[in-house]
Parts: sequence; C-alpha cells; structure tokens
Amino acid sequence: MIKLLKNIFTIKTLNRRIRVAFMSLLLLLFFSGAMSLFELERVSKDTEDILIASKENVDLAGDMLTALNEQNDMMITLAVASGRYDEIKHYSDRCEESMAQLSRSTALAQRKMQNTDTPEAADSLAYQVERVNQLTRAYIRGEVHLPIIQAREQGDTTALVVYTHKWYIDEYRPEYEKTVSSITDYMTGVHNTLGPEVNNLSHTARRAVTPVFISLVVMVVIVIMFYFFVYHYYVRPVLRINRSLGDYLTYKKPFDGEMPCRDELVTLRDRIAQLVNKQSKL
Amino acid sequence: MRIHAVIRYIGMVLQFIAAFMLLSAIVSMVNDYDSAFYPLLLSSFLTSLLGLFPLIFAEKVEDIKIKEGYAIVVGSWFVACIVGTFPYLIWGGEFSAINAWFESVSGFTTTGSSILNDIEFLPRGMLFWRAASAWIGGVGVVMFALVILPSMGRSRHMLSNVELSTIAKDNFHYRSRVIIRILTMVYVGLTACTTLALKLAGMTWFDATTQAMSACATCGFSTKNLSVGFWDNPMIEAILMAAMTLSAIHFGILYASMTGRKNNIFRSEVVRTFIGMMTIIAVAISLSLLAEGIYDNWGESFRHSAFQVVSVTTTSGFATADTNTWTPLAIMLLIICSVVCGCAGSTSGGMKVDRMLIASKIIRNRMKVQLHPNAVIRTKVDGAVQDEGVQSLVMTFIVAYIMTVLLGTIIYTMFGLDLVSSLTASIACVSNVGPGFGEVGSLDNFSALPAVLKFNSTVLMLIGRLEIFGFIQLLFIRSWR
Repeated sequence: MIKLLKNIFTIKTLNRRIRVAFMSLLLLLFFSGAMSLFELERVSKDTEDILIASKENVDLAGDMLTALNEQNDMMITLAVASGRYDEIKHYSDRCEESMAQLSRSTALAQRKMQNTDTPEAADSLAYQVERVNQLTRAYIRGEVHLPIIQAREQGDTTALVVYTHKWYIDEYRPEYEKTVSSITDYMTGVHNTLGPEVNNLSHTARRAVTPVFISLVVMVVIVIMFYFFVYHYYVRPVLRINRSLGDYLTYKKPFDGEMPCRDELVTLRDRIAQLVNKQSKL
Repeated sequence: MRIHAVIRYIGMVLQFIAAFMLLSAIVSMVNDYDSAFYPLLLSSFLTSLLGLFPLIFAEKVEDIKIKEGYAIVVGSWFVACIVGTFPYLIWGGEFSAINAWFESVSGFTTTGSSILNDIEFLPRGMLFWRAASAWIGGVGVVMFALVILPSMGRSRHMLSNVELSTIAKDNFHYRSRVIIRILTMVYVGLTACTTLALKLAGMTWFDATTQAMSACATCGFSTKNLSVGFWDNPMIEAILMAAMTLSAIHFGILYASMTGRKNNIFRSEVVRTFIGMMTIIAVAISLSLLAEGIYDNWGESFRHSAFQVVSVTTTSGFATADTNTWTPLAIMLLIICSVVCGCAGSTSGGMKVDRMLIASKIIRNRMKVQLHPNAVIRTKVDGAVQDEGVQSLVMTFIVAYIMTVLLGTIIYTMFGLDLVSSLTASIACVSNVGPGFGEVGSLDNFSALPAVLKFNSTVLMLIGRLEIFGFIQLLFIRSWR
C-alpha cells in the first residue's frame, strides 16, 4: 500500500501523470454519481413507503368510518322499524356485520400503531369502539333501557319511538360522536408518526444532493489545478523550446530551454539540444 | 512566488487530513457503521483526491522562500477549514453551510466554540472527527506537512516562521528539524498519557481519547452537552487540568524538562508567571463565589473555579459550571484570563503570558527611567535581554490585539448582540478560547447568532490563530510578487 502510494506520488512520466489525472476525475465522477444514485434510490424508497403508509392509514380510517356510519344508520332504522320480525332481523344482521367490520379495522389499526411512539391513540380508539359496539349489541338484544323494554312488551309503538329517540340522543349519539372523534385522532396520530419519516426524507434528499455539489466543487478545483499544471509543466516548456529553437534558427542564438519538470519534455529538450549541437558542428 | 510549490505542500496537508477522516470513518465502522460512516468516507476520498493532484503534478521544491512558507501556512489553514466542512455538510443534521464552516474553523483553530445544540446526537464517527480536527489544528496543520516532508533543512524553518510566534522562536534554541521531532513527541506523548489517565479515572476509551485530543489541542470540544461537567468527577477534572496546563506551556520547555535540561518549567520565568497567575485568580474567584454563597464550601468552590480558570487561560473552553451565574468579579477575572492566555510555543492562543510579561517589564522600566533619566535599564526574560525590536513587536501586537477585539465587538453589537456577549464573544474568538459570557456562555453556544455573526466569529478565530499579523499580511497579497 505504502509502495503504491509512493509510486503515485513519484510519477515522473508525462503519459502516466495525464492518465492518473483523468482516472482521478473519472473516479470522482463515478463515485459521486454512484453515491447520489444510492441516496436517490433511498429517497425514492422512503417516499414510496410514506405514501403507502399514508394510503393504508386513510383507507383504514375510511373503512372504520363507513362501518360506524352503517351501524348508526341501522340503529336509526331499527328504532323506526315496523316491528316485523324479518325486518328487524335483517337490520340487526347488517348492524352486526358493521360492528364486526369496525372491530376488525380497529384491531388492524391497533396492530399498526403498536410499534410507534403513540400506541395510545389506537388503544383509546379500540376502547371507544368496544363501548359503542356493546351499546349497539345491548340495544339489539333489547337490554338497554327499562321504559323501552316495557314499551316493547306492552306493544306501545308511540312510547317505544319516544323512548328509543331519547335513548339514542342521550346515550348512543354521544358514544357515536366520541368514536368518530377517536377515529379522527387515530388518523392525526398516524400522520404525526409519519412526521419524523418525512423529516428524515428531506434529510436523505439533502444527503443525496450535497455529495454531488461538493464533488462538483472539488472537480472544478481539480480542473483549474489541472489547467494550471498542464500550462506550467507542459504548455509553457513546449512554447519555450519552440521559441528557443526559433531563435536558434533565425538568429543563431544558443539553444536554451529551462524545464520546470523532470519528465519526457526534458528528454525532448536534451535531444533537440544534441541535434542543435550536431548541426552547429557541421 | 512559486504557486506550484505552495500547492504541492498544501496537497500533503490534505493527505493528512484525509487520513484522519478515514480514521474517523473507521471509528464509525467499529460503532456499527453509524450514520457518519459514509459522509466521512466520501469526505476522505474527496480530500485525498484534491491533495493527490498537486502531489502527482508539481515537482518537489527544496528551497522554500519566506513568502512561499507563509503562503503554505495560511493556505493550509484555509484549505483545512474548507475540506473540514465536507463531513459535516454531507452528514446534515444541524450543519447548514455556515454551521459546518463555523464548526470546522472552530476545530482547526482550536477555538472549541460550537453551534450544536445537541452534541450527544452526533454519531461517534462525527464526534471523533470533531476531536481530530481540533487535534490536527492543535499543533498546526503545517506541522504535519513538516513531519512528512522528505526534504530537510531550510524549508522547514521558513514554514515555522508564521506558525510559531517570534518569542517562541527566540526561546527555541534547537534546529528546526529537531523542533518538529520535539513537537511531535511532546504532543503525541501528552495525548497518549492523558487518554490513559482519563480511562483509568473512569471514562470509556472513546470519551477518554476524544477529551484527551481536545484537551491537548487546548480546544475544548467535548462529546457531551454538559461538557466535562457531565462526569462530575474531581479526578477527571484534575487530569484534564494537568493536560490543559501542560499543553499551554512552550513545548520546547516541556521537552527540556523531560530530558533534564537547564531551561525547564521550574526555572522558566514565563511558566512561573503563567501558573502563579492561574493560582491567584483561581483562589480569588473561589473566595468570591464562597462569599456570595454560590457554593456551600471552599473545596467545591475552589474545584470549579480552578477548573474554569485553567480551562479559560489555556484557551481550552471545557466547562464544569455555568459561569454566567458567577459573581461580576469572577467574570471579570475570567475575561482577563481569556485575554492573557497561555505561553508562546504551545497550542494555546490569545495574547500570551510571554508578551504580557515583557509588556509589564517595559512599563516598569519606563517608570524607572522617569525616576532615573540617565539609567540604562534592559528588559530581560529568563535572563535573556529582549532587544528593542522584540519589545516593539510585543507592544504592537498588544495594540493590534485590542483593536481587533474592539472591531469584533462593534460588529457583534451592530447585529443586536448585547455588550457583554459581544465583547466576550470577540475575545473568545480572537484568543481561540471558545466560550464567552452572556448568550455565548460556557454552557451555551453560538447557534442562536445570525449567520453573519457566525461568519464574523470564524474570521476572528482565523485572525487569532494566525497571530493577527499573519492574517493581515494576507490582505497585502498583491504586493508579494
């Protein structure tokens, strides 16, 4: 390794110097490009993950709200149902289905929120769903409110509607609204958990851009240095040799070409000097 | 001036910086490839490539001229500060462009000020790089170029002209080649001993190494938000105090002491003044704090005051207490400490005890001459007569220092910073101390300052590190040709 470094630092041939210079530029381009691609790939994956998580969350919340609303609709319909057994059975079954759907969605939400910083949002939602479901179940079984039970037993439909309406407004509706609010809280909670990931995304995006920017700056500096060195060590000496040779041919001034380097140009200068000497002797 | 020669030497310095970045990347790798690994690796690659170019193309130059030596030193500082921002910028987090520049300059100039609100959030690789930048800056970026230079002799002397102050060179009776060996031995030896002692005192290897690097560079970069106060360990504080004090003493004198030579720390008037000054101020502050009831007993009061005095005087900037809550007398004495600072020829910055000693003797002699107009009184330090040139230089430097501090203060106040914060921030930056008082206190940082003031702070740090005139000379670069 040390030998390799030493060899690089002591390159004395023009050809190798130029080759190493271009290889370095190529390596820099490749490295910065590869790193940026790698980071952009990560940005892309993170963005996709966030979008999927966001969509899943919206879908889940939508399912819960649909199920809850369906359940609510069935409750209202049951309250004003004609009292026929098959009709009540139909609405009760649909209500049970909505309850099951709500429970399933809630359990899924709870599982999703388990590994986040705010699992309590899903827990409170599950608790609330359980409450509203219990209330619904009790109503369907006819175990809710003594006046309603009595009105049902007596077949007093007017009293039944009045009492059911009172029960719905006083007991069921507040629980329903609380559940809607819990679903909204859950949605906000999930969005908040995505916040750090979005921040991380902007951080990753910056990390993808910064290396390229720095590499560009380094490349500009290297190109300027390259120009400077090529001009100083190769262009100027060639111009000097050319001028000196011209002076010799035109005015017979002695050939002189001082070199700032120790590579092939020195050999060229020496060979031209030999040729000039031979020419002078003839 | 042969620019190609200057660029070649700067290229060598860049290779050293790249090596330290790689070392930091290895630290990152050992710590489960933390998030600093890739930024450090990429930065190392870019820095190495940048330094490789001049090494491949530029021919080796044996006889460095004085202007070229100066350009190499100043150029190395600037380039080191620029490439030092790469890991911070690529890593991101709190590091915006100005913040990364601030942290890098603060490290390489061994100032130790920070813009980080949560240092502990940084991955270990990045914390190591912070400490490494301070360690490199501690003895001067150029020092590394000097060590690896294959050519010997004159070139080294020219390079050390800017790096070491005039007084340090006058005290230094060794050849430049020997200077390099001594500096390296003392610096590396001191860092290794401090690391071992801190480990034995209860720190982890990582914390011990980084705190030792920072203490020996008199930088004050810590790996904890509460700085040294995090450990609340008197033994650790004592070890760091010893390391900081030794790092603020002329390295040649330290070497002379270790090798049993005549001009050792026990005989040096400058060192006696330095340690005497710190002791008196520490006792005075501890009594003041005790009288005000800030600490319950004298032992506790002396422990904190001694640590803060040593930390500020050596220009380290470590903290174990919030000095903003201290008495006005304590604050004033600490400000004086951050003006006077350590000895010439060490890693500390500021006005330096040597200059203050000569200045006080010049004033005393001036009074004697007024009483005895015909008397011939010479100014001596450690028995050596200081000629008129040195005396003039000392006084000129003190005036320039005061003017720079005042100018810095004006700029800070222009952007709405209060007077105490402005003055102490200016002193802290020019003296490369790190913390000041007020908004930039020992347990605060520079993050709340606007970008323009952060930039102003970095300029002041560079002015201070380049001993003011070294920086001013840069402004007349056109007249060099």
